[in-house]
Amino acid sequence: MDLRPELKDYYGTENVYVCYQCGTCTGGCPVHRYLPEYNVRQIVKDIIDGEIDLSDKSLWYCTTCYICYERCPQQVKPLYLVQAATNSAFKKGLAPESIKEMNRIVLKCGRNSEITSIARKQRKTLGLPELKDNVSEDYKKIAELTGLSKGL
Amino acid sequence: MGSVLILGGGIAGIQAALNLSQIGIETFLVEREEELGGNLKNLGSTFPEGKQASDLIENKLKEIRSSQKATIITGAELSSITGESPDFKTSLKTLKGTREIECGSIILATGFKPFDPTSMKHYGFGKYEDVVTALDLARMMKDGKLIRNSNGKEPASVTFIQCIGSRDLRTHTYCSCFCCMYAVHLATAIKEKYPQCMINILYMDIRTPFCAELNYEEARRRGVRFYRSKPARILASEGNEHLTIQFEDTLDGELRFLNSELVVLSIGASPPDGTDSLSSSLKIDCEESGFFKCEKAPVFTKGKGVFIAGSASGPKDISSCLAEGSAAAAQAAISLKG
Repeated sequence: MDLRPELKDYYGTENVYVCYQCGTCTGGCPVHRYLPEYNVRQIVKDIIDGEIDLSDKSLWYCTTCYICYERCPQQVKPLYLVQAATNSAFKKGLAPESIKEMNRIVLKCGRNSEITSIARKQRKTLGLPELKDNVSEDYKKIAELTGLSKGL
Repeated sequence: MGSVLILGGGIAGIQAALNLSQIGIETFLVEREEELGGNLKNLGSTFPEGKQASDLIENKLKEIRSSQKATIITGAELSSITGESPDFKTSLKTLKGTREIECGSIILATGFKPFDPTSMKHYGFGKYEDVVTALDLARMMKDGKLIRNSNGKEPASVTFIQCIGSRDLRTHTYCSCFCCMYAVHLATAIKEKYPQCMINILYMDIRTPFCAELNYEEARRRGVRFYRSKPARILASEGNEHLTIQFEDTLDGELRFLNSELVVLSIGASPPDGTDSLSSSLKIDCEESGFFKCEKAPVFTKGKGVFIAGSASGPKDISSCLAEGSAAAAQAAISLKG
């Protein structure tokens, strides 16, 4: 799909059109090294061409290490373009089920994983206070404002 | 009739001095360095023509000297410039003391300064001895001795990395215009002398217009390999046997680790030191790039009687510098007529 009209809504995406497709980003990307299907240069190209596949789950492989951001000769900030794509995908309900599930858990218990019985037991043994599901009001508000709750 | 002061004794300034002395106009050719020839004197042969650079310079200088119309002043810094066309007053600081020159017209042929790649930490320049600039390589080829600095031996492989200090928002956004041309020229020259040497060129876009296209073709014919990429980083192997260039081959999306015994950074051009102060004393403008700004047409500036030739207005190849040297000489001669 064409993400270009939406780019202005996302932080740090203004330099997208100066990309030369030189590959400095992908060449240094630690994720690409092990998962070649994640190619940040190709993601930037697909955005420029107006043909980004927002349902592609490899979009979510970025570890936000900022190497592409730091090395890009044209200061395209490829990382922020990937984030624009994932944010847009999420709002449209196109995020992979695993990502949606993680967010449901955060909204339910305030953590990115549920409290397990083993964790409860260990904390008791160590004399630590009991954990409780606790979603802050601020977080709920953020989820509302960013459209996170809608994307679920 | 007044005289013309030419600032910069590179190929553009030399050409302007030659033409002015040929038509009988008194000329002062002023060079900051001890020796004339500018950046060109550091090259063994010219591109794309492949002629001896020193011959090109020497033949012109011989004629300039024999005309007796031109005064050559080397090792001289400009200390001040006042007045306006046709009565400029300049003061030079030379090894022999101060020298005052009055002139009717000025040609700025200040050229460029080779880009310093020290800031490109991920390419290991300054850290690994076998990462050198194309200028270092050109000097080696000129001296007929291609070696690795680390062990003094001939490298079995050489890799060029293009666009160092060009087309880069962090340094210079412009294309330095001649790097692709000299890279294919040097690569071909290495292949000629050392046919067994493996040569790679990592490029974003190859820009070899007009006749230089044939040099690009010749390089491919001789087996120089081209990869479309700007590398992510360069690392040295243990024991420093070779350098490893990590990059994405953008034509097939593959991550590659290329070993090379010598890495050559194809550096671009920066505006020379002193451009700023010169532009303010002459009340002419500079481009965003830091080079002098041409007004309306090449060689003209905003200032009356002040002209530009060659790379002073942005990086140029040798033949463009020669053409602009002649054009500026003609315009300076016209301006002296009033």
